[in-house]
Amino acid sequence: MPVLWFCVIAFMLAIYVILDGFDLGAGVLHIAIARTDDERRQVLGAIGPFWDGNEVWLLAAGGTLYFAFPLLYASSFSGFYLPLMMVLWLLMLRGLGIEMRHHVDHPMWRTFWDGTFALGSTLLAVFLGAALGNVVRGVPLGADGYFFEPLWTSFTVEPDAGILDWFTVLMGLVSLSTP
Amino acid sequence: MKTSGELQRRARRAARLWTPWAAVTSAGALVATSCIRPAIWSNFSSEPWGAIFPLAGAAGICGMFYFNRQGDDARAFFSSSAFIAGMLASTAFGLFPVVLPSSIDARYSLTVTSTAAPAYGLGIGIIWWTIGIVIVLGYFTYLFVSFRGKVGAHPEGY
Repeated sequence: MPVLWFCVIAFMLAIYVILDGFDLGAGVLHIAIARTDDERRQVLGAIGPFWDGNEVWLLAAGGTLYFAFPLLYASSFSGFYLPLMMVLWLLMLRGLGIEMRHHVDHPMWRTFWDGTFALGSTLLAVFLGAALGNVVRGVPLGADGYFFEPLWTSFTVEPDAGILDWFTVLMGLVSLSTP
Repeated sequence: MKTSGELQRRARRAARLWTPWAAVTSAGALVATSCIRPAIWSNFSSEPWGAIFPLAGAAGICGMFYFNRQGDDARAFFSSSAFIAGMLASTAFGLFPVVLPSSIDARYSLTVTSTAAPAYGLGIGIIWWTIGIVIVLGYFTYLFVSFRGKVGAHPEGY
């Protein structure tokens, strides 16, 4: 039964990465490929009905993790507290960028929120890739099942490495570059 | 896939430019992963059927190259999805049964069995999850079918 739940969570995370990857890609690229306000509205319209629903797959996977693997949830949410807060802020930044731009009809206001949307999407893609990199590389888990990682240390893959090192940044770049 | 005209042309060009970059960074990540966690290949040796996952990922990136050049946006998107799913599934398969490796001592790594909730709860939970996922998949199918096709020049609300 635990193996089945492992597959369930992997399935939910894969669905999240595929569906929200579409939205993140639109955010990363829209400043470069959409040059007029009408074109930027088209890009936002392409993800408009879907992006917040797609995001819920990540929350649902987190809830399922809590249900099926509570020790893993406790250990990882405690150890990854800082990057999880950063991901949460980036999710909010992305949402604000999408929803706030049409509230005031002024070019400077729209440009600011377009930049926010692009920045939030870019950093989210990098951080989600780096998160996967941390799981592959390993974290300084002790016998008590807990760990703490600073944001970075020496950027080398050592037992006391931080969340960002050359390997996890490379995984972040893989995530960012997957169209 | 959702846009048209000049915007679609620029999006296709960006996808064609980014696909080789994705292939290069992924190849780099593959080599790096083999160096820092060589044990990730042991499951593929003991269970050769697991090779289907990296093969699906490889087929996905080949499809991205081919369909981007053909201008077939939908198939290029599904190829990209296969690439992502294949890479993630390969990672999960390679790490299994470990779910969070310890860099201090392998004995401290968290595994599927050592972190799982009691069997009774998991058994009841799979029934409710199945009911829930059927509703969710129905909703998402309805959503994507309702908003299928290209976005107009002046989408409502944006």
